[in-house]
Amino acid sequence: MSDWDDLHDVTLPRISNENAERLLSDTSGIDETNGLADLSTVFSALRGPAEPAELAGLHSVLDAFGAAVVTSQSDPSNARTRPMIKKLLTGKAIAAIGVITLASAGAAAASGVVPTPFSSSKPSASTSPEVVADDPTEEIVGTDILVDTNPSTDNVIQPAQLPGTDAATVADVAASTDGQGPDVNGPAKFGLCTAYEARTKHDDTTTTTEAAATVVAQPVSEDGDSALPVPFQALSDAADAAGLTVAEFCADAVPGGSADAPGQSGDNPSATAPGKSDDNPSATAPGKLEDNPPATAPGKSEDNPSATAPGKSGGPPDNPGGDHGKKPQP
Amino acid sequence: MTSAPFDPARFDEVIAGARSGDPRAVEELFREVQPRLLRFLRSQESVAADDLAAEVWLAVATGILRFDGDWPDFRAWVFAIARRRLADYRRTAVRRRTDVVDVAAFDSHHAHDSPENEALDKLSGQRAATLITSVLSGEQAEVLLLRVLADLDVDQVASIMRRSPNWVRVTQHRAVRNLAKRLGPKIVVMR
Repeated sequence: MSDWDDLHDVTLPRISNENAERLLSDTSGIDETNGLADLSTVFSALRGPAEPAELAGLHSVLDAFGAAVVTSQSDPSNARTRPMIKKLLTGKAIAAIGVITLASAGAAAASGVVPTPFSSSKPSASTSPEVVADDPTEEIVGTDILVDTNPSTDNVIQPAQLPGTDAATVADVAASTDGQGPDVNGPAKFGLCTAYEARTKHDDTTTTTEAAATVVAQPVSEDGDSALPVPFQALSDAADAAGLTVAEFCADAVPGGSADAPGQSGDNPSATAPGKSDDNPSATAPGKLEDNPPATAPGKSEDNPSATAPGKSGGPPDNPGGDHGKKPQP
Repeated sequence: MTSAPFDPARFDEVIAGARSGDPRAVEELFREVQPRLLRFLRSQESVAADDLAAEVWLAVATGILRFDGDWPDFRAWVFAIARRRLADYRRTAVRRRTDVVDVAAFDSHHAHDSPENEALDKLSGQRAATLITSVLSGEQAEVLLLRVLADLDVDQVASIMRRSPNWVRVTQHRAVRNLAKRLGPKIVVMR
């Protein structure tokens, strides 16, 4: 018995490829009389309108789209790599700042021009006094250090203008800024006389003593006809005006100056040497007071310890870093 | 919630709205795609069809920002996702010997001597899909459903099924002939 259906070609309509494609692609032109009506009905039912039960999941789909959009907007590229990139960038930025800081400090130290807030005689106008006084270390890495460390002679400070300010400090500042020398009748008289005496004794041995070396380093007077440094020339001129020799003029000089002079720095011999101002960072400290005298009361300048002269501070300095810059010399 | 009938000419506007999370655009796409998607999935796996459809829409929502194409491409994309979800489900279902059969699966096969004896004029979309799946082989039914339900052309079906277009043409022709054979006219004995 054959497995072939002998009625196959009789009972089944002949379906051409074109008709099959028309049925599947829902195009018109199907000859439904050719036995394709049932097929067309089935396919039309497949494409039929939605039933209510088939649209039950709409709200969950809306929620899924909303969550996906929120997620994509908050992190469109890669949610895992961005925090790591940020972390690495932060670490690298900190490391770079540290390297730059160390390199700058090292280079400055090697060149011997490491600035400190105590060596600045006049902060620039663009520098906030509060910033400089609050954190002296900021000057080391900041761009203001070049401005701050350049002494300026624009604002000459006179001892008479700063009552209560350390005499030796003021004298050093005056000698290093205006070329006129300290006031020989003021608190600096004792120091000047001591230095003058030392210079006289060791005049022939030029640089064998520290005092002579510092005196030699002092600038000559503007007319250039005198070998005496300006402070000593002023001392000599004052003695001449009084009709006395320098030795006689200095006979009444006492440490600390006159009785009405508030400065008490006579116990610091180095303060009397005008040429020592560069070696003693505290000598430039008045520059801070000069910029903001009313704001910082003498003896209360906790923001900038260097502004408080030795012997005038009631307690230990608040900033330990400022001690080395104003340590009293024996 | 109602929405206007979907106009394929507005697909770019609708897909842009769906990308931005516009509920009206998402609803418009959902109303157009979901019925046919569910018919396809229920005809293949009646128990897990709803869960699979939810997974498909979740994948669409996640990847719609990367989608680039027109309306036929969108349909092909959605049904390709559905077919992959079906394959994943069937792989895991093989390992689950205690898979629970939904009562509705039995209900869908009751009271009919054969699918072809149903009143075709009252045939619903889901019943038509089930009819096709029940009388044709798996590949033939899948080709017909993708062609009709997803409204895809031969090349798109070939791409989704990873077959050649010729294979799709031959298979669909055989499927149509076999379906017509089951639904075809009875022999009219001429007296």
